[in-house]
Amino acid sequence: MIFNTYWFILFAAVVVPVYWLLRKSFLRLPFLAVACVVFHFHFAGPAGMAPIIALGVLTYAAGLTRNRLACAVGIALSVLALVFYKYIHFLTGGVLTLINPGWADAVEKSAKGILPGAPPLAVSFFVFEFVHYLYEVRKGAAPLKNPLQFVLFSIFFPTLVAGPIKRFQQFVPSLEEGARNVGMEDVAAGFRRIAIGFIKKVVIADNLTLAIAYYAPLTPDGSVAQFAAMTLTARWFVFILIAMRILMDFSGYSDIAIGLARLLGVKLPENFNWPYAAKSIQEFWQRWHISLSSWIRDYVYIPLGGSRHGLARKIFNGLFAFALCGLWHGPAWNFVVWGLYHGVGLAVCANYAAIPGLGPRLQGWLEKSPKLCWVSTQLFAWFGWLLFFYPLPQAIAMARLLFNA
Amino acid sequence: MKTEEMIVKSKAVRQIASLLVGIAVGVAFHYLLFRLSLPVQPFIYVAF
Amino acid sequence: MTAAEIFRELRSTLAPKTVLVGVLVGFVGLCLLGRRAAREDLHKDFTRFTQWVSPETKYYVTVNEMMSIVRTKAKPGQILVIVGGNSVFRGVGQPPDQLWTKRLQENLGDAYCVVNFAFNGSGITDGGAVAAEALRKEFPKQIYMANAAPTQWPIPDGTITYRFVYWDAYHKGLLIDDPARTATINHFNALPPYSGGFKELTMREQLDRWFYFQDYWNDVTFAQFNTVWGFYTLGPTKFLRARKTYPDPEPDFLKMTMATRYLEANLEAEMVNVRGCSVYAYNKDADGKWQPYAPIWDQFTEYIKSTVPAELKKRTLIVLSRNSPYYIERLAPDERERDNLAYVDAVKKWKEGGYESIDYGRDFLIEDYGDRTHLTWQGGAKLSGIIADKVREMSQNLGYLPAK
Repeated sequence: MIFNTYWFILFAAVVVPVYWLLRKSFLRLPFLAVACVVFHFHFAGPAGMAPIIALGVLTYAAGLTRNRLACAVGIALSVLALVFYKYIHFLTGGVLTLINPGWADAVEKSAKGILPGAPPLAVSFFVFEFVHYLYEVRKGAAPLKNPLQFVLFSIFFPTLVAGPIKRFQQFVPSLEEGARNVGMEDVAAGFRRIAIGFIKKVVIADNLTLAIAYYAPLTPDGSVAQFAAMTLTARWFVFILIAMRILMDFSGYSDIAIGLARLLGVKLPENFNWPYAAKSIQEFWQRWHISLSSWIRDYVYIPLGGSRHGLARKIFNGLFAFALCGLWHGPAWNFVVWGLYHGVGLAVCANYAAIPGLGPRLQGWLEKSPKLCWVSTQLFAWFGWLLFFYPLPQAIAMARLLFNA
Repeated sequence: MKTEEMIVKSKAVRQIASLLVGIAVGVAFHYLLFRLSLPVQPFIYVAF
Repeated sequence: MTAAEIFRELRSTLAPKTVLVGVLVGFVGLCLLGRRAAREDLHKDFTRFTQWVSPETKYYVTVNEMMSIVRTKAKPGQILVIVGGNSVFRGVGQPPDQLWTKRLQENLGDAYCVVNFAFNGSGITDGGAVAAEALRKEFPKQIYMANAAPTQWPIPDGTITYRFVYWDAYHKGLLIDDPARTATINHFNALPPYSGGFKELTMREQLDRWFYFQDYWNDVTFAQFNTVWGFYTLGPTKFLRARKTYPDPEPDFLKMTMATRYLEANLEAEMVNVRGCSVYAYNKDADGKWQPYAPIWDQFTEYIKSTVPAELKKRTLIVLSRNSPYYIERLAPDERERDNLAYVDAVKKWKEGGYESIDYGRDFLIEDYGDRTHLTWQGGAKLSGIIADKVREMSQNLGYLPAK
């Protein structure tokens, strides 16, 4: 739950005013670090804190060395930790079993004794931040020497659980600036942003969640019969609810995180910019979960070669990056398919104009019809949410039912 | 300067708009405290 | 300038200090309105809490709402009779104009004021019990009653679903400070499942003590517009309708066929429930006679010691509801004997614990019941007669009435 708990409301109601009252940055930052530890301890427990402490110490130390190999090892260990905690069952059950069931069984058995019941809180987010940090240091950026700055980069409570995924070169100066000089404007803007976030979440998204549960497009037995029994209009209505719900839920969360940071004088990167106004798939991904898509671009797509090695390689890099982006959301095939679906969409969108004859004509036609571009982009993205939320066969069945009275 | 621009740039309008925005935020916070007393749904991305 | 441009321009030039003053005005303003709402009676012409005013449909009644209902209904000098308990006492299957507590009011006459605060699935110490305790000084001549099953021991702060009322009243300083009760509550709330969500609940009620958000927004939900979608609402666009516009939907059991009321398909499951009232509480001795199973009864005796503070026990009537003869007649003779013993012994234990207690239903007919436990309005009329006699007797014993 995190932000929508009374514990968190009381926590913020104490921490934020005390932070304001301290007035000096040499008092504010240690206090904030302690508050972040309390926050993390409350929601993750001591066992849940262990992975981030271990990986954090390792990342900090590797960064300090500025040694390329040490940074690479740090990156590898962070990624391995993510794979271990979040994907081991998926890899053994879904991939390794196909190759050698005996190996899969052995890995499962040895992992069982050491794996916690659930992955550590926010593991997908902090691992991505550590990878970013070590990657940049490896490339030559100055590492964070002040351990307090590193601790706050790692467990800054507004962003700890679900982002936005921060960049340390942007975050640390903003943190220092906020600690020196949080002003009335920050506070007013922070309150506004938090209120908007909570309205999106509790007034809109939560009602949409309940409405979707009521209409039950997919019943617990995995059937879409209830969806099929609806009128065509009702099916489209539910389809729109699904798309609106995820936008309101996640952008609401990001608004709250950004607003909370702003109360402390810290400016975080934006995560959303009206994604449902996008008129192309590229534009959609420049507007949706921006901190993740830019991370994938900078630390997966570009290192793989990006668009530098010909069309085939560019398409492969895009598909790989998007499959990874999908998989990041959870250890399940539907997320992989969702990522690939967007990868294919992006590849088509970015390259259709190069098709001899048809391409330029189509491009010219679409340029004259921005509404058509918008409708087709949004339909594409919204059909994607069916893949995101439901198993593949049911998602396809639901998509077909939207066109079949 | 057009009439709309004059209105928008007027100090009184700015103050009234600021007060109304603030009141809306205060009301939203009060509602939030109530809404959390009813069952709430977890944030989708917290699970990721 | 377009509307969007005006909006953007205004947003970029908002005065931070004025915004913050506005935040304070908005928030404090609603806190003050909440305090006012806490003193007003929303539920005019109150008969009972419908499912639209219940946690079943995400409406969490505050103790202030209940107290306001009583203040509207009860006249000075009347003996206040608050009815708590579960759906049986709420009158499931009895239309509002035939509700058994209406009959009880008619039976008792103007010297009494009967208020039905029962909720579906609630226990002895839920909602109504809390409201009665909170009103003990304003209405010192009061009787609280709740129905229960034998050996159903209550947790003093209520069942998990309804304990919010206790903590609401507790944080508003409306309850008696009773160390024995507090010790029992602490014991339970340290253990699952009672510990689940308990800290969040107490934080919420502590905050509500200062900010009165539950009273204010319940007022809005009930009288103006609903804000939370749910299965109970009437479709995607009608969920905003104020709860007061929803009718009391209770059907009339007597308009249903017996086959619907006593579903053949449910027979086995219901027999398990009926046996469950006594099966764990007795063992047969060597002579084949039923003997109380000591661990159950000892625990029961221990728990009822601190169910309510000592000073409230004498005015508390525990009514044990027997099951319909339709099911009792299907028990084997020795099971029937065990079932009867459970009611007789439970009444005895409650009385020994300092409470008043009776049971009902032994001489009721199948037709008096709408299903296994709930009464038709005819059965309710019978019940009201039994309860009225007991209430008069208690009023006499408690000194509420002039000595005969």
